[in-house]
Amino acid sequence: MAAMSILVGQEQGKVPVTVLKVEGDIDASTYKALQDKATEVIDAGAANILLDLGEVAYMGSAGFRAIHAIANMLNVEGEEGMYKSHHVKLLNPRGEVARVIKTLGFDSFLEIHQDRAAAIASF
Amino acid sequence: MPRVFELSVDAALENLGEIRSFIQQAGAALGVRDDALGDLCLVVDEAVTNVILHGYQGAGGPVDIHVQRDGDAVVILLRDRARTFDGRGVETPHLDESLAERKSGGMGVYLIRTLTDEAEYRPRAGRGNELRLVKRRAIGAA
Repeated sequence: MAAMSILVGQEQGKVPVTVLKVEGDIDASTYKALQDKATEVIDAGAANILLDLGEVAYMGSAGFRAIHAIANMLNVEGEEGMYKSHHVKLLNPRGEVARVIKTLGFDSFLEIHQDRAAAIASF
Repeated sequence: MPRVFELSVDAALENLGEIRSFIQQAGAALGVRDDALGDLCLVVDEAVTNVILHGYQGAGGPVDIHVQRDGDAVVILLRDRARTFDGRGVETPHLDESLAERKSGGMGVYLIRTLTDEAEYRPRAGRGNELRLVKRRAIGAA
C-alpha cells in the first residue's frame, strides 16, 4: 500500500486559508483519502484551500481527479469562468508532479506557488 | 546484469506502490534518465490502474510486467487475463475547457498516449490483454 498522510493547518491571510499538506504518493489507492479530507474541511466551513504538494513524490490521474473535484466543490458560480480558481491553489509541486500538472493543463486553472507565505497572502 | 526485468503481481490498488518501485528499480538498472523514468512510472501506474478497475473490475487477477531495453528505448509489456479493455475508445479531456466545464475522466489514457511514443494494445489468445509501451530516447543524454 502506498503510504499517504494529510496534515491540516489553519492560516490567516486576508482571509482564512486551510492548508492541506500531503505527504506520500497520491494514486488510485490513496486519492480518496485526500478528497474525503477536503470534503470534511469544506463541510466544516473552509472556503480557501492551499494544497501543499512539497512532500508528494508521485501523483497520478487519480490525484488530479481529486484536485479537480476539490476545486469544483469551492467553485463560486459566476466567479471562476475561464480564470484560475480563487479558492484552491497549489504549493511547491516537485519534479514529475510539476511536469504532469503542465501536461494536463492544470496550471491554466490553478495558481502554483513556491512560497508558503506568499501563497497564503494571495487568497 | 539482466537486461529483462519481470514482475508478476496481483491486480490490486494496494500493489501500485510496489509496481512503481519495480519500474524505478528496473529503469535505474537499465540506465533510464530520471525524467523518462518518472514518465514510465506514471504510465505503468495508469495502465495497471485501468486493468484493476476496468479489466478485472476490482476482482483481482494476474498482471505480468516485463521491462527491457531496445537501443535507447525502453519497452514495457503489460499482460493480464482480464476482460477486454481497449483504452483507445476513451475520450480524452479537453485541456482548453474551464475548470467547471472540464470532465475529470480520461486523464490516465491521455497521459499514457502523451508520455509514450507507442502504446499498442492487442487482445491475447484466449482471454486477456497485452499493452506494449515504448518510450524512445529514454536512455543516454537528453
